[in-house]
Formats: sequence, structure tokens, C-alpha cells
Amino acid sequence: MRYILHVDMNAFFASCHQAENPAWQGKPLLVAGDPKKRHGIILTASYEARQYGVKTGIPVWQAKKLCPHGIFVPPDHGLYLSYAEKILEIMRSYTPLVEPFSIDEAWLDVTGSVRLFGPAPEIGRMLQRRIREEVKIPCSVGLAPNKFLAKMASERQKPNGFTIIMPADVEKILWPLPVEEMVGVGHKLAPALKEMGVETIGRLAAMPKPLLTARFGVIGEILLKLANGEDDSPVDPHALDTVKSVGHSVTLPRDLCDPEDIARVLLDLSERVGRRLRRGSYSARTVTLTVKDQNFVSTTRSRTLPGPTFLTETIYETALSIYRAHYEPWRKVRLLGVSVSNLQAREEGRQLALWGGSEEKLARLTEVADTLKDRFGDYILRRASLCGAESID
Amino acid sequence: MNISLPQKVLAEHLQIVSRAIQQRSPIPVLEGILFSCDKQKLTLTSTNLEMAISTVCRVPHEEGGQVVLPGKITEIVRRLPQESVHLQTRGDGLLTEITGGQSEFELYGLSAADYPVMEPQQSASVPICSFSLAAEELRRALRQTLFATSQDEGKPAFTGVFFSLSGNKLTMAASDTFRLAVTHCVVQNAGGEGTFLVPSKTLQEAARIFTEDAVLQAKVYDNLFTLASENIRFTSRLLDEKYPDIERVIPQKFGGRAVLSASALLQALERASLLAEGTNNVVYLSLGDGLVVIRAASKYGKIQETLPLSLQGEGVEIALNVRFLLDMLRVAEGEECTLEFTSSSLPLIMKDSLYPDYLYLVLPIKK
Repeated sequence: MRYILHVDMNAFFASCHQAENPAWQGKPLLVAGDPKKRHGIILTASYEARQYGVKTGIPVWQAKKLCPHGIFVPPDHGLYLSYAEKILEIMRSYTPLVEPFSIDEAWLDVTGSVRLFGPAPEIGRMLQRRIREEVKIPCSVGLAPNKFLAKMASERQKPNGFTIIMPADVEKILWPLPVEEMVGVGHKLAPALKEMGVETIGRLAAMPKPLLTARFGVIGEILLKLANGEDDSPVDPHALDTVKSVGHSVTLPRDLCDPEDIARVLLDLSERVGRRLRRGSYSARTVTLTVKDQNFVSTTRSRTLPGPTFLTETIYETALSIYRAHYEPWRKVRLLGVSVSNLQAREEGRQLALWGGSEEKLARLTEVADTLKDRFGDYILRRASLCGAESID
Repeated sequence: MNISLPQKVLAEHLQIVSRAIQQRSPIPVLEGILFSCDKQKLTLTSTNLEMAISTVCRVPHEEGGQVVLPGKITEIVRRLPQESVHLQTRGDGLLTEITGGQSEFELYGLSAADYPVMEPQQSASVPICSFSLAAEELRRALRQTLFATSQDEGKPAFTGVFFSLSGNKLTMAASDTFRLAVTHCVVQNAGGEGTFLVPSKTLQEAARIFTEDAVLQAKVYDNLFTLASENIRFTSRLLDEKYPDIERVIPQKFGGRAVLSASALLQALERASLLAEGTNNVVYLSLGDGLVVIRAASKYGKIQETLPLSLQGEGVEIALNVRFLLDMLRVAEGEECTLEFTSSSLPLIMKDSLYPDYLYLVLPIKK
């Protein structure tokens, strides 16, 4: 029998901000866009905020009514990525068979890890504790003999749940659940199943196969297997091997065309990207600039540098030179995005250079600035060119 | 043109000039070699506009003329029997017949009128400075410096070797900003003084073509550098970049000095380099009294090795890119290597006991 863990971060985006700012822990925190700046819905609410009835997807004004004392923060995808990467690193210390499913959940096949780390439930609890203690992110863990049951298990209890579903538990735990709670059954399948009188997963498991295949084809057969707690799909560590990147983009409060304004926004974005990059101890070789113009036409251009960098200045200069090379100055800009990819782990130690190599000085300066920001918050230091400029948040 | 000469001679000369040929050039004549025959002298020339190489050889007096023949001529002549080779242009003076033994080639030549020349500008045809030195000296100095140049076109000044002529002393320096190699040559017939910067790519070829024990005449013009032996002439473009002050970065004082066997150090570092990884290839040297401990570690494991040395002054613990150290030790010729150091964040200086004038400075990796 296999031992599969499914780990699901609780209110991940909100938890990341709380982990980053200890003062926000235990407080209602809402990750949301700014309605004045044309993006205003709740993306994630912390569990504290959910108590007030705030849900993902509701408009900010409504959330403010429900939870007036909530802390509203703009989304920061670079931050989430860097946290996700740290969590994956912890997971990979137990098994190489880690399949990230999205930024905030993953499967682990720990069948082969039992001899090294002890029984599977212990590994699950150890993992949960380490993620909570080392990264300060709460998560729910499910343990089962396959991926489907593991995910169903982690869904059972949130936050900080730990649920085991063994084959013998399928009848007791899985079957009483309403069919729409089954992984893979969405808003299209659920009504169709209910039409056939299938209200619970148990009823689905008892359906004759020909009836299901006649109605849903191959999917019907898969549903039947899943409902019976059967799933033999392997944990594939490369399932989500997409380009690893760190990026920030912003829909501007108003369309911009002044090159100086655009340069400032690029600097602001580059600084955020650079900081995320450095926080994850990465350097990157490729810089990508995304520009959406006033007609919603989006263009993306990349440039690969001769060597990897983690410096805001290099990211900024590259992004700016891409902008100058590829965008006519008269095009009004609605959205700007800077991202870096081709990531590699940043090496320990820094090769010193002669003639006070400007890079060396910048690296030193950056290190000091980052340390200050880590201790006192991002606003302790601002670039002069960004002072007084309107905020893009 | 109508000439005959021994296959061996022509093949040798072609081998030399073919070094400056540009493969697949947008300018077709640059893919060829210029044959120019006048007054019993055959001159072969090639250029890629970065540098030009020409050779001269005597041919029995026949009909002179000029034609650009495809680069393939080198290979053709090399494969002809070791007899006399005969070249003769036909018709329009471009189609060229090459015969050797029973073999007859016809090559489509190009007009010599289109061939670019790399010559000093008229206004500056008097050299800024000139000197002569033994080819062997030049090769030695290039061997000691060329490897330290940068390949990064983003730092153009550092892709060249810096020359400075003062009196009869020629200083050559190369750096990629992480290390600096400085050496000196004594030159003869020095005229004028000055500094100039020559691309490392062209100098690499210069080191290859002047293999014989000739005395080379060097001339520096506004934008060109030429080196000439009796029958080979090398011309390189100069880099129009400002080179930083090298004197300023060479420490005049140091806290400790260690002398140890150059070959033992080379071998130990080669072993350590097997586990020194990443872009920094870091090795740790603990230079202490009577002993240096060399360490390196990677995800695959670690290595530690000790070597005896004699130390004056204070020891140091320093992290360095092992590739930088190996580059120098591989060209070191003396039995002993001297290391001078002060702290883990100040440069390490390496010296070759055979060439006290040669200095190699490496900046450490800071934790």
C-alpha cells in the first residue's frame, strides 16, 4: 500500500502576509485589490476575517462593511511564490516525490520514506509542524493510500487539520459526503449527478457502471472508481514543471505615457521583484516585461542577461531598456509587469571585484537595505525617486 | 597572375593567413584570401576587420596581378602533392586555375578591388610609438596575461590586454575585474611612449602565428597595432576604451607571505576543484605556519588537503575561485610559487619564482 500525503495551506495568501508581519497574526486580514485602482475584490481572507462572513470573491466595499476593522493588503505574488518555494523545500526533505498541485497545495508520496522517518502519520505531523514553525504557515494534511483520498482527507478539517482516510474508512468518512464535495465534481457535474438521484458520494459508488458511462463517458468510469476510493495515479514531481519565475504586475491607477512615470513604476516593480528574489536566495538571468496598453493589447518581451543577478538596479535597467526598445513612447500604458525567470539558487559568498566594481558596492548596499527592511518594515527605506510618487498599490 | 611555387611553402603561408578569415561573412571577399603578386613577391592577406594577417614569400618572376580566392584554397593546397603548385588567372583575371601534380582546380575568384585594407589612417600614418621585441618574449607575456581577460562584451575594456610603453619597459596587463595579471617585457629600439588596448581575441592569434624565433617590429597607430616579422605582418584594431588605473589596485604592503611548491599547489588545487562548484568555484585556503590547508565542499562531498610552506608574517583564512588560481599555476614555470596576503577580504597576490616581474592578483570571495 502507498502512503500519500496531501498538504493544503490554509488561507495561503493571507497566511503569507501574517507570517511576514508578525503583528498581523491572529487579526482579520484581507488580501484585496484597490477598487479606486480598478481591481477591487477579496482574493483571500484570513480565518479571523472569515468569522465575519467575508468570503473570497466579494467586493472590497462589502468586506469593509462586514469587517470594518480588517487589515486590507494588496496581493503580492512574489511573496507567495517565495513562501511556496520554502514549503516545497521542507517537503522535499522527506521525499523527492513531491507534486505541487497549485501554489498552495501538494501531494507527497512518502511510501519509501517510512524507513527513514518513521510511520507515515508521524511524517505527516512532522511536516505540518515544521511548516507551521519554520515558515509560520498553517496547513491541513490528509493521509491516504492514494492522491484522491489524500486530498479528500485534507479537505475534512481546516485550519490545521490532520485526517487519515484508509480504505476501511471510505464507507464511514467518504460516502456520507454530498457529491459536490468530491474532488473532480464541479458545478457542471454536480447538478447532472443529482438529476440522476445521486446526492452523496456513497450513492455514486453504488451506481451501475453502464449507467454512468452512458451519461458521462470515460469520466463516468473514473468517477465511479474515485467514489469507491480507488485512484492509482502516481505522484509526479514534474507534473507542474513550469517556468519558475518571480514577478509583479500592476494595473495602473490611470493610463500612463510619460516615460518618467513609466520608469518610476518599473523601478518600483523591479524593487519588489528584486526583494522577493533575494529573500528566496535566488538570482535570475532572464527579465521579462509585460505591457498592456490602453486598448488592452498585451505584449511581453524578455531579455537574458550574461550572468545571473539579484540586484534591483539590474532588473530595472533591463526592464527599462526592453521598454525603450519595444514600445512606442506614444502608447498609453494600462498595466506594467516585471518578472524574472531562469532562476538559480544564489551562491553563498560574493566574488569581490577590482576598481570598487559598482556591482559589488550595490550588492553591499542592497544587503544593508534588505536587512533594515526585514527588521523595521518595507517603508523604513524608500528610493528618493519613488518618494512623493503616487503609489501603485 | 601566373606563378609557381613549392606546395609546402604555399601551404604554410596559407595556414597562417587563414587564421584571420571570417567564416560566413556578409561581405563575400572576407571569406577569401587576397593573393597579390608584384616584383617576384607574393603577398597573401586575410582580414575579419578586427585584425589582418599577411605573409610575403619570394616567387620566381612571372606575371603579377591580384585576385581574392575562396578560403577553401588553404585546404586545396594542403591536399595537393608535395611538388610545385601553379596558379594562373584566366579570362577576366578572376577565374583561377590551380594545378599541382595531376590535379587541376578552377576557382572562382573575386575582385581584389573590393578587398578592405586595414591600414593606419593617412593623417596618423606616423606611429605613436614603436619598439621591437623577441617573438618568444611576446608569447611568454601573452601566456601570462591573456587568460585573465574578460569574455563579457558588456565590459569592453576588459576584453583587451592593456599595454603601456615607458622607456624600454613594456607593461602588459589583463583583468576581468576579479583578478589582474601584470607582466613586463624589456623591448629594444623603443620610440615614443604611450598606452594602448588590444583585443584579446586578436592577440590570441598573434601568439599562434609568430611561432618562430623572430624579432618583431611593433608599431602603434591611432587605431591600429601592428607586429611584423621578416615575412608575417599582423594588424589589430585597438579598443577605444579607457582602462582603469592598475597601479592603484596593487597593494604595496601585505601581512604575510608564503612560499610553496608551484606544482604541488597546482595538483592539490586541481583535486580540490573537482568539488568546488557553482559560478564561484570556491576553495578555502588556511595559510598558517608551515602549512596550508586547502578545503572545498559541494553537495557531493568534501575534500581537505595540506601542503607544506614557509610562512613569513601572519597567516590568513581566505576563500577564492579555484579556477582563477589554476589559470595562473598552469602558466607558472618556476619551481616555487609565492603567495602574499593580508586578510580574507583583500587581494591575494601570486608570483612565479622564475619571473619575479610577473604579478597575479586575485580578489577573494567574501562570505
